[in-house]
Amino acid sequence: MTTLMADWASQGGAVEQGTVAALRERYGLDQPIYIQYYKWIAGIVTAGDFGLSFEYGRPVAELIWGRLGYSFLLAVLTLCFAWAVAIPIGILSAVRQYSIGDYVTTFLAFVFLALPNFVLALAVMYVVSTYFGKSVGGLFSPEYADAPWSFGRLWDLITHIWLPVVVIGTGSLAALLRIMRANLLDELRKPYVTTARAKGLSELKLLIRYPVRIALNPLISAIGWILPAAVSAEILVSVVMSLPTTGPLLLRALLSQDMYLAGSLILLVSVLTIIGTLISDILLALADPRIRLQ
Amino acid sequence: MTTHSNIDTAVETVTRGEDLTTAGQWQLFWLRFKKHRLAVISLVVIISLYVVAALAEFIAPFDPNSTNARFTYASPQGFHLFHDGSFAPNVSRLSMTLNKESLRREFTADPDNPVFLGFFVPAKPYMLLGVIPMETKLFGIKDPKIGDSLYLFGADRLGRDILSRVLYGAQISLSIGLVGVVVSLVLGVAIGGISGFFGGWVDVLIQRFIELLRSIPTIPLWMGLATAIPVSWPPLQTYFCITLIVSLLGWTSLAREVRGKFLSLRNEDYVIAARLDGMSEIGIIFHHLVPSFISHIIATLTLAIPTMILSETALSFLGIGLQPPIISWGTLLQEAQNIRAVAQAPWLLFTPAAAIVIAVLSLNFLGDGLRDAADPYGATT
Amino acid sequence: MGTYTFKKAAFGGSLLGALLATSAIAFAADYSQAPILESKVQSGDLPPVAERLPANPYVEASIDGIGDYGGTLRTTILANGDQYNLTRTVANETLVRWDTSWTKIEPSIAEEVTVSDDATTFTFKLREGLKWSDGAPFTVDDIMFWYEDVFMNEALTPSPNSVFVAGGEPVKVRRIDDVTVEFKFTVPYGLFMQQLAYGQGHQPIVYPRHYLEQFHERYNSEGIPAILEQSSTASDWVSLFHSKVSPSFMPTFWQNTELPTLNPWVLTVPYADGNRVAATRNPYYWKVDEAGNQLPYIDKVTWAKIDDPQLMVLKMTAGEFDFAFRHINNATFRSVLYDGTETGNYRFVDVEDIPANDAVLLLNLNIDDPVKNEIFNNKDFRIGLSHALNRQEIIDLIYVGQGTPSQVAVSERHELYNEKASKQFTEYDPELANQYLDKVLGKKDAEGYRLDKNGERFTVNFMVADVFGLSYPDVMQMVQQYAKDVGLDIQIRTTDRSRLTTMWNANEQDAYIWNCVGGLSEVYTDVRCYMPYQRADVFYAPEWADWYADHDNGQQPPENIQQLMAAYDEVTTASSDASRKAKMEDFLELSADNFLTIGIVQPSLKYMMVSNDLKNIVEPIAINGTLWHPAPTLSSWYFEGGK
Repeated sequence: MTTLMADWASQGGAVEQGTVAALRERYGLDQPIYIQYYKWIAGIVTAGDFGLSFEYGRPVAELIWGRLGYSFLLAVLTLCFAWAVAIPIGILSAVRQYSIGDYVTTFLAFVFLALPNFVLALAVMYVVSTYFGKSVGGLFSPEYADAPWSFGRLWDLITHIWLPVVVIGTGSLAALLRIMRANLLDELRKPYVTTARAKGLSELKLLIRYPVRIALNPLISAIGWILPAAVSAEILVSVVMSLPTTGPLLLRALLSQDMYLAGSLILLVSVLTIIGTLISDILLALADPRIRLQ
Repeated sequence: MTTHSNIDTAVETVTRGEDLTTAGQWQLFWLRFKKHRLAVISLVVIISLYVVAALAEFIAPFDPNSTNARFTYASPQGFHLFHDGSFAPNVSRLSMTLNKESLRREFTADPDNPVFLGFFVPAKPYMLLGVIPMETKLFGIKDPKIGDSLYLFGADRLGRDILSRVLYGAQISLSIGLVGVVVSLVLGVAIGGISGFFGGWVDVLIQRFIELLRSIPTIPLWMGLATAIPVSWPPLQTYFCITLIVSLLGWTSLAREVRGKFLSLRNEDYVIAARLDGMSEIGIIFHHLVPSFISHIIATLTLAIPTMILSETALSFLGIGLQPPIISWGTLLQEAQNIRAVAQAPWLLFTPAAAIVIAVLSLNFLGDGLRDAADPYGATT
Repeated sequence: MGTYTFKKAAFGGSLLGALLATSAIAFAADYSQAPILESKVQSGDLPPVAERLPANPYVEASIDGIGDYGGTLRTTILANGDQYNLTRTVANETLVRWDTSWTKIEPSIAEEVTVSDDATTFTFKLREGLKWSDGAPFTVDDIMFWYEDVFMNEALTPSPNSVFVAGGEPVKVRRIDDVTVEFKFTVPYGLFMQQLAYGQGHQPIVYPRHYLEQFHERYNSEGIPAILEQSSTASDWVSLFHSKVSPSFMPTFWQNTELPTLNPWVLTVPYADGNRVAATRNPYYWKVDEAGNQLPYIDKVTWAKIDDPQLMVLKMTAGEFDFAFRHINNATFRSVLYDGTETGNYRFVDVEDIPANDAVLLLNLNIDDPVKNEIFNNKDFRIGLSHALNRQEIIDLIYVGQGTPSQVAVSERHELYNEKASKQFTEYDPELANQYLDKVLGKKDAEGYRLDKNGERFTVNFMVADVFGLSYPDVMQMVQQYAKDVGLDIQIRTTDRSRLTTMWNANEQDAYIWNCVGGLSEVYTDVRCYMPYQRADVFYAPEWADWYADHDNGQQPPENIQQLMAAYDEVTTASSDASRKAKMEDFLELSADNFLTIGIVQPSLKYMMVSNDLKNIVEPIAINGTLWHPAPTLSSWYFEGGK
C-alpha cells in the first residue's frame, strides 16, 4: 500500500497519511497476516473471490482472466512453433550428424540461446519497425485495440502474434533441438536399431516408429511447465513488447506490492502447472507404454 | 636407415593394434577424442578463454571502468597492421564533434592519421592474478597523447572500452557463473535418478516437491531473495549467493527429464539382468543407467551454461543482479538492452554476445566430442 | 472587503483587484461547433451550441490562429501506474489556473476571484451556465456537495488534503448564491491561490452532485444496498463511492466512463481494460477560441498502453504518436528520437521542467545506526563529500553536457535564484574534501579507506534505483570512484523501486539517490527537498518530517531544523506577494546554511515531441510535478487541415 502511495505521491498525486490508514483498514491490511491469508483463501474457495487489487480498486478476477487467456495462447503457440521447428531439425541433425546442416543449425541455435530473449525482442522490433515499416509491440493494431472480435481483428492478431512467438520460441528452440538430437543419437546407436535396419525396415519407418518416439519422452515431461515458463520467463519479453499477458501485470503487482493481485496470479499459475504436469504424465504414459508397466 | 624406419613403423602399427585391443577405458577414450578434430579445437579455445580471463588485467588495454567523456558511444576503430608499407599496427584516429541537437558525440575516422599501437606498453601498476606486480600491458597506445583512443570493439555510453569489459567479464562469467551449473547438474541427476528408479512413494514425494518449486514463477522468487540478502554484503558474495539459489531451483527440469528416462529404462533387460546379478541399486544407477543417457546430460549441461550466464541478465533487468562495478557478460548484454544501443551502437550487443556464443559453442562441441568418445557403440577407430 | 493582489515581478504584476475574466466577447449567436456535433444538434440529440456554452465562456488565446476541427490525437501511456499522465493530458480544469508561462494566476472555471486583505477569505464567482459533460448544470451546489458530503465526511475523507488546510484547521466553505462561493480559513493562507491553481486544486470541481448522490449514504441510504448487490467491487457505500470517483485521480477515476466532468474530452475506454485508453470530445466544454468556435478542436484522444518506454521511442519514430512527453524525454533517448524526426513526422518542443536537482545524494539523517547518524549529521562530512564530486565530468559523460553543477536550489531562470545556495561546495576539490573529511573521519586503513570511531571501515550503502531515465546507476558509479579517491567507501546497491519504498518507510536505508522538485515557482508550495517536509518520495529525515506534520509523531529535530521549519511557516502565512517572496528568500538562505542534501546537477530544458501537423502549441511549455500541463492548453491544439 505504501509503495503505491509513494509512487503516486512522487507523480504529484499527494495522498494523505489518514487516507492510507483508512485504505489499509478497508483492505484488511491492519489485521495479522494469517487472518488476511485465511480470509483471502476462504474467499477464493467459497465464492471464487480473489479479492481486490489495491491499485486498480477492481476485483482481481476481472483483471486477470483476459490476460491469462493471451498468456495461454502465447504459450501454446510458442510450444507449437518450437516443436514444429526443433523436432524435424533435431532429427535431421542427429541422422546427418556432423554434416554441414548439423553444424549450421547448431550454430544458429546457440546464437539464439546466447541472446537473452528480451534483448532479442528489442532488436527484432527495431529491425521490423525500421526496415519493414511494420507496427510492432502489443498484439493488435490501434484500430483493433478495443474493437469487438471479428475476422479482421483475428487476422490483425495473427499478423502481430508471430513476432513474440518467434522471439520467445527461439530461446527454447535451441534447448529442444539439442535435447532431441542428443536423445536420438543415443537411441540410434542401440542394437535394436541395427537389428531393425538389418531386417530391412525402411529408414524413415524405422526412425519414426521407435527412436523418435523414445527421444520425445523428455520433451513430453516438460509440457506441464509451459505455463509457468510462459508467465515467468516471458515476463520480461512481455514487458518489452507490451503484450497484454499476465507477465507485465504480475511484475507491476510485485513492484507495487499489490498483494492480492500478485498472490492470485501466482496461485493460478501454480494450479495450472499442476494440471499441466498431470497432463504431461498421462501423455508420457501414452507415448511410452513401458512406463505403465509398474 | 630405411629398413630401420620400416621396422619402426611396423612395430608401431603392431603396438597400436595391441593398444586397441588391450587399452584401458581412458586410453580408448582419449584416442577416440583426439579423432574429433572440432572437439580438440574447442578444447583449445576453452583453455585459451580461461587463460585470457585469468590474465585479463594484462591483456585488456584499459581498466574496464575507466570512463572517457570524449568518446561516449565511440564506434570500433579500424585496425591496420601496416602503415606506409611498413609494419606498424595502428587504428584510425577518431575525431569527435558534439551534436547539441541530437545530444550525441559524432565520430569520423581518419585512417591517414593513425594512432600507433605498441606491445608491452607501460601502464599503471597493478597485481596480475593478485600476486605478480606488473607495470606493462600486452598492448596499448604507443606514447598516448590527449585525443588518442583505442577502441577495437567500440565504447559504451560512458566511453569505456568494450574489449576490456568483455575480457574482465569473462572472469565472472566463466567462474562463479558456472558453479551453479554444476550444483544443478549434480542435484538434478541424483534426485531425478532416485525418483525414477525407486518409484513408489519416493517418486511421489519428490515429484510433488519438484512441482511445488516449479510452479512458483521465478521472478517473484528472485525478488524475494534479493530482499532477503542483507544490503551490507559485498557484491560478489551477494551474487554468489543468488547464483547458488538460482541453481538450487534450476535442477528441477533436469531431474524430471532424468526421471522420465529412468522410468522407461528401469525395465530394460540389462537392468533386470544386473539386478538379478545382485548389483546394488546405486550401482545400477551409476554404472548402467546414467551412462545410458550421457548424451542427454551433456546436452543439458551445454545448454545450462548459457542459461546460467543469461539468468543473471534477467536479474539485472529487475535491478537485483550483479552490482557495479563488477562486470559479467550478462550485465554487458543487459546494458545493451536499450534502443540507443540497438539502433546506434550495435557493437554493445554483438561483442558480448559473440563472446558468449564462442564459449558456449566450444563447450558444446567439446561435449559432443566427449560424448562420442565415451560412447561404447561408437566406431572404435 | 478589500482586495488582494498578487502583484510582483514573478507573477507579471497582474491579478487585479479581483481576478477578472479578461474578455466577455458578446457573440452568443455566432458560436460554432465541431462538424461531428452539427448532425447531433440537427437530430435533436444535443441542444444548440449557444445553449451548451456558459454565458461567458472562457476564451483561449491562439498562437497560430484559428484552428481546424477534427482528428485524433494519438499519444501514449505506461500500461500500469501512469494514470497521472492521463490527468496531465486531459484533466486539469480548476477554479483558477496558472497562465501558460507559469507566472500569474488567471480565472478559469471561476470568472472572478476576490481575496481578502488578510488572505483568509477567498470568494469565487463561477461562470454562469456551466455544464457537466452530460449537460447537467454545474453550480455552487456541486462545490458544496464536495465540501459537505465528501471533504467534511469522515468516512470518505479520513484526513483532509493539505491544500485545504491552514493553521491545522480545514477550510470553511459557504454558499453565497448559485454562482458565488466563499472559502474561509482561520489563519492567513496566502499560498491558497497558488495551491488551487496546481493539479491538486481540482478537488472542489470533480464531484457532480446529480450523479454521485445515488452512491452517497446521506442521499440514497435505501437504494445503496441494491446497488451494492450488483457491484463486484464494493462492499460498503464508501468503497462504492470511491469506485465511482476516486480522490486524487487514483486509477479508479479512470475506470468510470459514466462520471460527468468539466474536461475537454470524456473517457470512453477506461485505463485498466484494453490495450489503449480513449476519450472523446465533451460537447458541453466551456471554452471557445477568439472566433467563438467551441473547443476542443481535436475530436478524440487515444493513449496506447505500453509497458516499456523503449517501445514508446520506437513507436514515436515510426510515426504512431502525435504527441509524447513523459518517460522518453531524457538525454539517452534524444539521439534515437532525433534520427526519427523525419519518419515520425514530429519536432521537439522545449519543456520548462526544471527541478531543484536531477541527482541528489540523500543521506539518511535519522538513521538508527548511531555511528552513521553522527557522521551524516556532521555538516563537515556532507561538505567534504560534496567537494569530492567532479560534477562537470558527470554532466559531460552522462547528461551529454546538458545541465549545470548545482546543489538543491532554485533555478537561475527564477527570481528566487540564490547563487550561494546553488553553487556552494560544488567545486571539484579533492584536497579540500580531504580536509573536511579529516575532521570527521581522520583515520584510514591499509587500503586508504577512512575508519569510523570504532576503528571499522566507514561504508555507506547507497540504494540506487534506475528510475526517471536519469541513469542513476551510472552517476553512482562515478560518485563511488570520486569517494574512493578521498577514502570514502561507497557501496552501490541497485534495487527496484518497490524495495526502496519499503526501506524508506521502515527507515532502513543509509542513503539513496533521487531527484528533487523545487527549481521554479513550485518551490513555494513544495519544499520537500529544502526541509524535512512530508512523506512523499524524499526521505532524508523522515522522523523530523513526521514531527513537522504532527508534533506527536516522529522525533523532535534539533534547534536549527526547527528554525528552518518555522521559517517556512512564515512563508505559508504571508499575506502579500512581497512579504511572501521575502520570507521565501529567508527560508531558502536558511536551508542552504543547513545544507541537508548534496545535489549534483540541475538540468537544462527538457523536451517533448509533437507532430509537425499540430499547431497552437505553447513554446517553451512549463510542466512540473505539481503543474499538470499541457492539459489546460490542449483544447486549443489543432491539426492543420483537421486531418
